[in-house]
Amino acid sequence: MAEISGNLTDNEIVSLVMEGDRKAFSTLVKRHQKPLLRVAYRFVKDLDAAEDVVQESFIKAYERLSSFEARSTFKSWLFQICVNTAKNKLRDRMDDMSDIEDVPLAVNAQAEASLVHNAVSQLIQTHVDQLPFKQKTALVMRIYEDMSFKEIAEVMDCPYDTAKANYRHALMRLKDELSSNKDLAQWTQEMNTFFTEINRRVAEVES
Amino acid sequence: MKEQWIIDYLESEADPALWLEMKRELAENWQAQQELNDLKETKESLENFSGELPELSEDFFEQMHEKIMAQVEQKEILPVPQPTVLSKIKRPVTAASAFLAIFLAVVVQTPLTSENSTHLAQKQAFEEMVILAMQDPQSLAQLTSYQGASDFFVDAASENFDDLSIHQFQKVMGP
Repeated sequence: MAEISGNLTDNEIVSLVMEGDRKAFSTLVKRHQKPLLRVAYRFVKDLDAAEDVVQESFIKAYERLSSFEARSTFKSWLFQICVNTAKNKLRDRMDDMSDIEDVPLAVNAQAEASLVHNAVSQLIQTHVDQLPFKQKTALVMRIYEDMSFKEIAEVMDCPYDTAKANYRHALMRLKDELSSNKDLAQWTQEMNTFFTEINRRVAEVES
Repeated sequence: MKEQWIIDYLESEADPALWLEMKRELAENWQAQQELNDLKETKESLENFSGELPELSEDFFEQMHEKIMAQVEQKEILPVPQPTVLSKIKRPVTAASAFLAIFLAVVVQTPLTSENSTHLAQKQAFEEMVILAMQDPQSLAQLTSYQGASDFFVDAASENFDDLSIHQFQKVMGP
């Protein structure tokens, strides 16, 4: 059934599941588990915790499937559950921690090319983590999940303009913070130049 | 407003009808151009230094999928939550409570806080004074006697004048 439902839209699969085809839910899991894990990881910064968030989100989604009214897309609805679950997870963790600043970023050193890149990533992500939750949500959804502002508004359960305003505030705040950190500004500029050059050469080769 | 359209421009969300206008504004306004460049750089930095999820194998996702489906097998889709009796009456009761609260605030609080309350207090004091005057006129005279600042200075001057010697009097008034 999972193979059959592979070509169906999310809403069509939801209908199947609602009619009793439990296995069809498998397609929804396969379709959305990767982006959901990415989003969860951006908030909880720990792979195990992120996996828990994703599992919990899917279970909640399954149990509450009858509440899903196709006013938004299934993806937005699922992401909304995921963001809220991650938020709760963070809140629980905050209760257990005396200093959230000490939480290390679980960056896979092997996956990163250089120490400088790691350091800059960590500094930038620290600034991202310090954003208010709504601003961070809008930023993460837009930049890392490439969602439209309409989708972000659905995930955040807020008006379109509010989603956009949250994104704008996040970007402007980060701009100010990154530019006030001279070392970071210099590093990012150098590395951006580097990446731009890499992208240019890759594009040349591909063309 | 400027920030708004710069973001629209940056995110290619601008209304096509306004696109040319925005381009023209950017060409003429170096501050807006600078701001756009700063935001673009910030966005690029976020994209380049994403601190993203470590690369994970397909096995990892397969296992996660299995774990999720194993839990799903044990769960049931919950029925749509029906509004409870409490929630049904909650809204009208809340509205009625709010109305009652406002009504009480207007009826009870207003006399205590408005001009009416001052008038009421004045009327009560007047009644008390009348009763006192009827009972003990002398006490009322003391109660209502008033000495202003000028009265005080006149009294003081009078007293000093009585104590003046002829010499002092002549010195002040002249011979």
